[in-house]
Amino acid sequence: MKYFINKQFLIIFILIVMFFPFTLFASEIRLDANKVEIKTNEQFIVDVIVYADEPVNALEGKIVFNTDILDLKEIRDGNSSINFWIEKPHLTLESGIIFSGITPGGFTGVNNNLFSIIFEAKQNGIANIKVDSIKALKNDGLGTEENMTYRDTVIVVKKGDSNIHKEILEDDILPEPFNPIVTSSPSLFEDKYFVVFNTQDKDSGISYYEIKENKYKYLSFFSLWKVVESPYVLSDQSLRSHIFIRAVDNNNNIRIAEIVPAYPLVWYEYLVYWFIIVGILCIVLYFVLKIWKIKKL
Amino acid sequence: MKLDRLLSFGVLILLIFFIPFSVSAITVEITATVEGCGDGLIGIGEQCDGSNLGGSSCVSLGFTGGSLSCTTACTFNTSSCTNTGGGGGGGGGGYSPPSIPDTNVVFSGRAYPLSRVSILKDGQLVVTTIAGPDSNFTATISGLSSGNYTFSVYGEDKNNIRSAPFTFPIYITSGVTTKISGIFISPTIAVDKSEVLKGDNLVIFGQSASSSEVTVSINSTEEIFIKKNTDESGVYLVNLDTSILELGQHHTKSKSAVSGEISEFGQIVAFLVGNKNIFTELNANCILKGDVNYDCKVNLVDFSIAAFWYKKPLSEAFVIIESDKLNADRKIDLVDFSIMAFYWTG
Repeated sequence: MKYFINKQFLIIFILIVMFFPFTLFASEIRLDANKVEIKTNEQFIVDVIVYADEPVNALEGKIVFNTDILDLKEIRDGNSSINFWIEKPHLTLESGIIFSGITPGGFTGVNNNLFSIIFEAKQNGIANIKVDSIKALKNDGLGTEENMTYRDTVIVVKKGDSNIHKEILEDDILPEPFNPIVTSSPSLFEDKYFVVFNTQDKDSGISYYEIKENKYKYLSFFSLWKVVESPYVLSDQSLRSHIFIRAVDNNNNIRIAEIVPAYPLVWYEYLVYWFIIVGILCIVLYFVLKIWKIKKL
Repeated sequence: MKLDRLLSFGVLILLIFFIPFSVSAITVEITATVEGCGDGLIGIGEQCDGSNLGGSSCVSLGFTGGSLSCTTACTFNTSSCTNTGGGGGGGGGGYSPPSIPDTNVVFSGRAYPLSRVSILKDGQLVVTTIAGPDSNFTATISGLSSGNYTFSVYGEDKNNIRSAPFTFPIYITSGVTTKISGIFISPTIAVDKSEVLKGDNLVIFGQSASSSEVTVSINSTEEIFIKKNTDESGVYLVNLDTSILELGQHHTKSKSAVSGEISEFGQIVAFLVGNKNIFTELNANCILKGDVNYDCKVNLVDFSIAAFWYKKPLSEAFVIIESDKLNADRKIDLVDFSIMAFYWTG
């Protein structure tokens, strides 16, 4: 009898251990480090990976780490499963690395990379890198929250800088082609025209965007690029300018998108044409006078 | 005489100052045949620009060596690239350099006869095509990099009602053409009344592939399934007697099967069985959650507008929009973006 009860308990225990983690905590966010033990001044990568049991389309969260041991060098969001960042992953003094973004249609599956963090060890010790909070919403049209479990990572930093390793990414691929949209909305910027833009870089990720507006396309060479974020209120509200937006990735590869003006200048509004016309007239007048002078003589 | 000299001097000045300027302007205009070509920066449609080769070399293009340069049309000039090795062999025959393999994705599948099919790449509309009378469609996206992409494919029926998107992630390898076939876009669905008097008929209709079998599901205490065949134009219609349904909120959805292929269930449409009839608006497709600028689309513009108000106090005007198009909690947070991502049209 005693043996039977023990056997029953054992079976139940095994069943609980085997199935509960999957039934209760189906989806997971984990931090995958490419090293577990490093030396001071050495760099390493931590990938932020999501396993989604059901399609999720929105995520926000926070990642904290020991700032006395680790130094954040870079965040790479190239090749992310997130299509549109509401807040690109960035370091804040109070909260660590925060991020939020969406993927239209959602994503599911085991290895969905959100972004990668490059750390450098400042001093020896045990560094904990933790997912502090995460919110994942199902792709159900209601924003229902998906249960997520966290899997953190621990890095042991030892003294010594004999084998300094830097995590350098080779990226010579341009950001993806993109089509900015000029629009206006009564609910934003007092109905002024603004431009929205977004693209991806599958390697190092987008660093920043710059804009240039010029009525004379070929004189835009002289105007300076201005660092902007989407949405951006256009300087030329008459929509007569050529708009150039360039996406710069983290390795300084550049992709330029151009928007042709909705109301382009007509030919007589181009200053250069007037210079040409005046020049031709002067030449004609010069030769007429010459001929007239020769005839007079 | 004095006037003549003055005029000559004037012409000379004009020639010195303006002719080079006008000539340079004309030169620029010639290069304008290729947008942005010559500015040293690689723009859309350019492989390279001047000395900027975008990191490419003869080796990266499949040659064994040599010097890669850029043509005035901003395309690669591989004439100085070389291919050596490979053993001896007989002479004769000219060498033709290998062509640069394109990275393409070819989509094919089944939609509705002569319907518009849209393909989104990472949430942005990149290709729109029209399905044939047999409901089949094919579309190609070119010029992709190597990496993970999320593609969504959806159809629009003859009433401009959109299907649920068929979304899938895929890893694209550079220089490879990836073929994605067997896409079966789920049927569109609509109802003629948002509230129906219990006992009256409710018309459930939509479009799918021609001559297919559509299964319409109606949720009740027990789920009801009704099967209907589409006609040549892919249209189906179910006249539902609501006397079998209990009072309250109900949902309906549909899926389609033809030639051994079966689609997923499509959009879910809600209706109320109550004590009166309320007919739905004709342009019901425009009553789209997430469409904060009321243009019948949910795309980057809506995302940008919502992102502007993220974690900020909303203006009075935007409170009304938020309550109409999002979750009506008078703030913009992740839930609103999740709703937007679900209804995304690109």
